Amino acid sequence: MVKKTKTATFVTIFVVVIFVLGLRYLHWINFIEKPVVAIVDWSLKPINNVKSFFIKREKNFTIDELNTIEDSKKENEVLKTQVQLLSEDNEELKKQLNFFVNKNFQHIGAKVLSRTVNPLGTTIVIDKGSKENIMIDNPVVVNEGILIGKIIKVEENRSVVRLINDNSSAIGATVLNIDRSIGLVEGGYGLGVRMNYIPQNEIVTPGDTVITSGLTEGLPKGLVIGKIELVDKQPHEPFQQAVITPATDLTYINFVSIIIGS
Amino acid sequence: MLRTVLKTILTIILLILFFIANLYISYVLPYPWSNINLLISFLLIFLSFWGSGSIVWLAFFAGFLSDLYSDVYFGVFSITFTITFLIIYWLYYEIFTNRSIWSLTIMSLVTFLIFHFTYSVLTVINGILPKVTLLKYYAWEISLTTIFVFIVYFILEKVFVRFKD
Repeated sequence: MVKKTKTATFVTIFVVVIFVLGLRYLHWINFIEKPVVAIVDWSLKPINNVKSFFIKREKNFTIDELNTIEDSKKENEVLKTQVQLLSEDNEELKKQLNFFVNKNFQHIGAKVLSRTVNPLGTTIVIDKGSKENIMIDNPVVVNEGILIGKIIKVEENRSVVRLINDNSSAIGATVLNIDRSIGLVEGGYGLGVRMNYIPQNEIVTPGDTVITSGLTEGLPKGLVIGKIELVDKQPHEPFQQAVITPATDLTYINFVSIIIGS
Repeated sequence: MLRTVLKTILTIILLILFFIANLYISYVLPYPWSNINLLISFLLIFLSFWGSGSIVWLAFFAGFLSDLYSDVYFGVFSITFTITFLIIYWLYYEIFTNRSIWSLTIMSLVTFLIFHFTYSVLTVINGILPKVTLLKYYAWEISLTTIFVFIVYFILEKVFVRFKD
């Protein structure tokens, strides 16, 4: 008898769970979901100020000083890359650079709401969605050309961005060295970014800048990813790997731009 | 009746507050502190103090909230939370019966093992393969949250005993 009751409870719970998930799939519980999401989103608005407060405490800088240093550092990175690209006798790269300088990308600014709760991934939620023509695979940049990730989920007023250090992120990239080495930039659960599949015979040195190669669908060529920090070259392996330092701090992002077209 | 309704609403509000706090912790605090899981801590402490079967429904709601802020398929967290706390509720009445802080600590460890196992199975079904490096993340989450639950339970137990006296 007791066993029967337990089974009945177990079945009831699962029927209700599946039923609610089904209702959600059909958008029939929006009247509950929307207010809850609105409340949570509203309460997350000061999250970046709280984060700033913690960073300020960590480094003993005023927030203005910190912002100025960060901005100069990032501006410097972008300018350095642009100078290197300009010096190339490559019409395509020049066009790409002009594309950035002239801001020919159609882009939308968005504010970061929070991180998502997925323990397997490193993703953030932004406050713009399909209403602003954002689509899956749109690249997300900061500071005029530093790639931080791609859009992977779009809702009416929100989108989810998969950061480049996410374990599922894979981006075709080029190293700005003599060989213009091509490889795949992959993340590792938010703990680091690596560039894999770099041909063994090509010379990659720490300090080289890594940009998008344009080989990944939806990602334009020339977006800055980061710099080579360490090269892992094993003589018995066909490819070498490199650890990359992202061009921006991926744990502290306030505002982003989504490239929605060119 | 009214009392039960009010109690339910209050619990749900509390759960939402813990969910928001969890998002703040994962975004604001540096690694590894960002791995503390406040949502599971809340559910475990709720179960330890009240031992109510409504923990399964609360867990489902916690999973539903998590699904709204997750990039994996909708329902993965709802099902993971429900299965985990269904098993934990059974373990609470059949195995961890002495209601001590030590049994809560073991229960916390078991909760995370079931949670991550179920989550991994569901994500593998959805085509996402977990990697070995993830174990480091899990280890931090399990250890820090268990310590957190231990401390909070210890404090709450003292407070409640004082009130009883």
